[in-house]
Amino acid sequence: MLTENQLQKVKSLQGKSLLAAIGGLIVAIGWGFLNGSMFQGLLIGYLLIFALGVSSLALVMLHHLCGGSWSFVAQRIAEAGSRTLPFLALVGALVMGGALMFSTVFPWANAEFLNIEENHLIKYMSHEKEAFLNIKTFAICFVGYFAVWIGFMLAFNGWSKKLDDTGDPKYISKMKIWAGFGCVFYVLTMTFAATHWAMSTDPTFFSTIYGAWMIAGGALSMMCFCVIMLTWLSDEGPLAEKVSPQIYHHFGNFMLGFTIFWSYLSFSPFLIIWYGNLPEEIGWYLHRSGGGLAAMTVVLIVGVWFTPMYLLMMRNNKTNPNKLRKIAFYILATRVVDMYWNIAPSFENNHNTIGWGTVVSTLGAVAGIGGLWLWVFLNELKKRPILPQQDPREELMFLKEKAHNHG
Amino acid sequence: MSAHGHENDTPQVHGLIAEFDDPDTLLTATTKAHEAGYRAMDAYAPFPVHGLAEAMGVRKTYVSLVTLIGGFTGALTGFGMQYFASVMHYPYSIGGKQLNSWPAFMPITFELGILFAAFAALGSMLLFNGLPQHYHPIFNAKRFERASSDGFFLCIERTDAQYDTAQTKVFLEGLGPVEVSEVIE
Amino acid sequence: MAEASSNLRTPLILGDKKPIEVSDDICGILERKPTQLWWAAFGVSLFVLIVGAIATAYQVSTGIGTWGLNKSVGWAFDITNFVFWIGIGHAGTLISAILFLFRQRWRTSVNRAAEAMTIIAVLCAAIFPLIHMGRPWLAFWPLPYPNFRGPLWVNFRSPLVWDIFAISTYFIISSVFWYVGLIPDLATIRDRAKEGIRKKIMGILSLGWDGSYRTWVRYETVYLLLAGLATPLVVSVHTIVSMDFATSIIPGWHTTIFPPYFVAGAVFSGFAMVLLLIPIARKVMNLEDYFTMRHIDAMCKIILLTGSIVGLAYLTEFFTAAYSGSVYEQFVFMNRAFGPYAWAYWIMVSCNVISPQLMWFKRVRSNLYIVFALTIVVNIGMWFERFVIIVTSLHRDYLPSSWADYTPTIIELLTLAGTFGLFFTLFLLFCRFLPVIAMGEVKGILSYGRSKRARNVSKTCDEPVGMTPALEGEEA
Repeated sequence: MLTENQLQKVKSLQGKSLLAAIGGLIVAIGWGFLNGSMFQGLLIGYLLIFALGVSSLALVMLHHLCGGSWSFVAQRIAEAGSRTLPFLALVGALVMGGALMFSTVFPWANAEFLNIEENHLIKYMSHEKEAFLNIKTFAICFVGYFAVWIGFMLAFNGWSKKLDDTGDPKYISKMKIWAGFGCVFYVLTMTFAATHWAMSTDPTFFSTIYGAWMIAGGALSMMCFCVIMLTWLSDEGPLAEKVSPQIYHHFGNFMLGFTIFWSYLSFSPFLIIWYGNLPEEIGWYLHRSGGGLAAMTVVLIVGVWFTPMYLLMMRNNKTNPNKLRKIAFYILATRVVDMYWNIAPSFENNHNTIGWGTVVSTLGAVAGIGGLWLWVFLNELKKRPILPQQDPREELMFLKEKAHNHG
Repeated sequence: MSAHGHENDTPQVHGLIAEFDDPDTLLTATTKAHEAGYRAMDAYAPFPVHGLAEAMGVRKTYVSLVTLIGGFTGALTGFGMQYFASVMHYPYSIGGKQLNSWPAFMPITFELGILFAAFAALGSMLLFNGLPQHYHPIFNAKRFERASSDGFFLCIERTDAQYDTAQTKVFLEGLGPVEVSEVIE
Repeated sequence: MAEASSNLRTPLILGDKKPIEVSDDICGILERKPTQLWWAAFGVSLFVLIVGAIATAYQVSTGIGTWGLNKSVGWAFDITNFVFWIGIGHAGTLISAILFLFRQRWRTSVNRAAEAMTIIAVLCAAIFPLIHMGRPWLAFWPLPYPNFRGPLWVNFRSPLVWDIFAISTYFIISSVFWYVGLIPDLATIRDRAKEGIRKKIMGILSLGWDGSYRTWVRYETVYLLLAGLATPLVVSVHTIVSMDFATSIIPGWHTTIFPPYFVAGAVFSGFAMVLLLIPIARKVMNLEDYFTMRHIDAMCKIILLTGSIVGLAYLTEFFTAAYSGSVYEQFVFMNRAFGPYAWAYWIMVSCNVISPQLMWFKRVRSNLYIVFALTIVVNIGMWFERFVIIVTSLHRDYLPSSWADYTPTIIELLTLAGTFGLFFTLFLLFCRFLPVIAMGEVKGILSYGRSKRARNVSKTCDEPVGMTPALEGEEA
């Protein structure tokens, strides 16, 4: 259980997050409406926040599949995060539904936009991809993806609750088996969802690695979010006893690993597509390599790849919670740059410019949707004890930790 | 005793060596010796014993730094070589790619970075450790062939400021060794 | 979880060994005369190697017209075998470097053998591009060196040149890593040997190692650094191998998922090969206490994981081809599954995607015979994967007039067999002359070697358990 002080802290953050949400939404919707970049910003903001919810589910499953003390202490954070999925489904339906109806965010859904002469390539490719890119399929798939995720979420949270109450090991075996299936489903649905929700904003482009790229980015966000939550909540109470520098070291290593993995998944497709130089693919990179976006690409290389990698290679930065938390905040901030770079250039009608209008509505949407999400998340977090109560594996996981620290 | 041993006209003492039964006793003994103020000493074990470095007060090594420098040197060499060859010395357009095809130069840049870093790591380890060494007096120690199998030794060297044959011997014998003996240079 | 907990309490090394017993067990193998079983295996391998060598000599002296290649299918068996062998090697680096970084302590029993396998597999792989050059004595031409042919440099934009750098770096670093790991063990052999030639050689090779702790500290740092360097290296090697295909614009080759997909496939096939060698080594050299069922179980789980990744990649490729809206992409994938080489495709799918799924079952993972059979199946499947990727993408060109089929000749088959002969010959020699198990590392994880303080934490933890119980992980 969280202590009284911590509950106060959570409550006050919830208040602040609501304020941020209101402010953010006013900017995203108000400014976005005037500027015509409302749904653009909302989509980018939504995908960033959505990644936290769905990666929480992945982390829950990963914990049961092959976790240890590091994922044990973060389990309730991840479970609470996964319970925000119904909320995310609702917001997603609003954002994407609106985007499909009232904007050119998904060009293939907008007949008027496609009929403009200079968009003939987009029109042609949209037509070629009609089987997958049409509003009906999009809607059915949207429901399908969330049905799968929410189904797994309900199952794992249910078993976890029962395990808390009974301590019966049979729930562990159940979770372990379903976690295996869950991971397979997770990768599949994420691949399709990434294609629908993000890649199709440029209907000419296709890349097999895109889904994995999104998964890697989301996992990186989730690791940073866990570190921030753990440092925030381990000042006293049950987490204070369990969270050791060793655990931060694990998280730091994962942050390093996912940073490198993300960079690998960013550079290798670029090299392949740059080399192939095929008209249907190369456009996506051309629109990100000139003018203001060229500068942004350099920012990505230096700020999203090199800086965190360099910082996280040093052991001291990973075992010191304060330093690690700062790095985690930094990486979360860079995730916004990355997601903007990934999606927004498709909206600028491919003029290689940073659309400052979209930047503002994106930041507004991140604060708006993020604030609401944080409120829901903290609400969920309060509902259950902050650590699993009767997990038979607990002793074993922490024994190792001790053996490690002493031996 | 050792393949490296050779005779010396005036045998000199290298130091006093204590043999221990297991890594734990060696660790305690080393800690105590360090606390007692001995510095010119070395522990010998068939496998790395956790905590022994701290017990001996060994400071951090420069191997990592040298490796990092090696890596950057390699990467620069790799890119430089490709740039020189493809842009300056033999500019030739292949496949419509620009002369400075930097994306295509990345793989070799990376590989040479890794290669040089590994060489730097290996080289600095050998250099700092003085390997390969042809001769070391420690091989003259009694039963030292077990140090690579199941013997645990602590040697306090004659060069230590506190070294005193009688007193150091008494000190070592108080640490629960199997045997304490002199090592001849 | 009772099952898993008891599992975690099983020691990594059975038989409650003392360090001296480890030295006796492992060095004993080298100090005894080889067994008849060893001679038999060596004889067969050597014979196959000689047959392969004759085939190679024939094709080098005659020309690679002895192969079944034609103008459409210009790459087939040779590149398939090359990628296959390189892939095999990856498991060695994975076990020695990545599992080291993840502190999976079960690796200590298998890493030496797996690293040897890596080096040997890279040697086997290197043969194929060499022969394919047609004039192997000019193999130095693709190296960038100042020459007298005008200012003539190799094309650094070519993935084949990247390959040369990647593979040779990989070979060098794997060897360095292996050798650094060997140094303390060579010192053990030196100290056990009687005066004579063995002692002389080992004395030189062990560099005068004395086990001084100042040396150990730097040694451990270097080992960690080399592991840290080998990890991105091994990923880069198969990434670059995948770029041999992916940077072209041939449908079925030009796809962005190739780099991670090739890496996962390489680890998959490599682990299958390790799991094929380990039970044999275990039986032939009585190493049941060192290669335990726990090791086999952990490796089965890695095979299951990587096999599933490979399966997901197949699906993603199909989906993206359908989504792409490119008729060429769509044609290639339909042709793979239902065209003239459909049989190869379905062998690949059933061996790589379906068969490893059996490893979900504990009963399968704990039966050595089934595991052994599955590893052979996986190796066949992974060989066919490369064959399918290479041949099916080439044999139906953009122009139907240049469509052609490919059948391997007997020479190509014998060359492939010959590399297996080379592989097993070298591996058997390694088992004879060098310690198959990293003694120094194994001694460090014996319950004897562990500090009493750690043991006092709990009786159960004389066997430390890792961050990933599912992999039966270990954490130092």
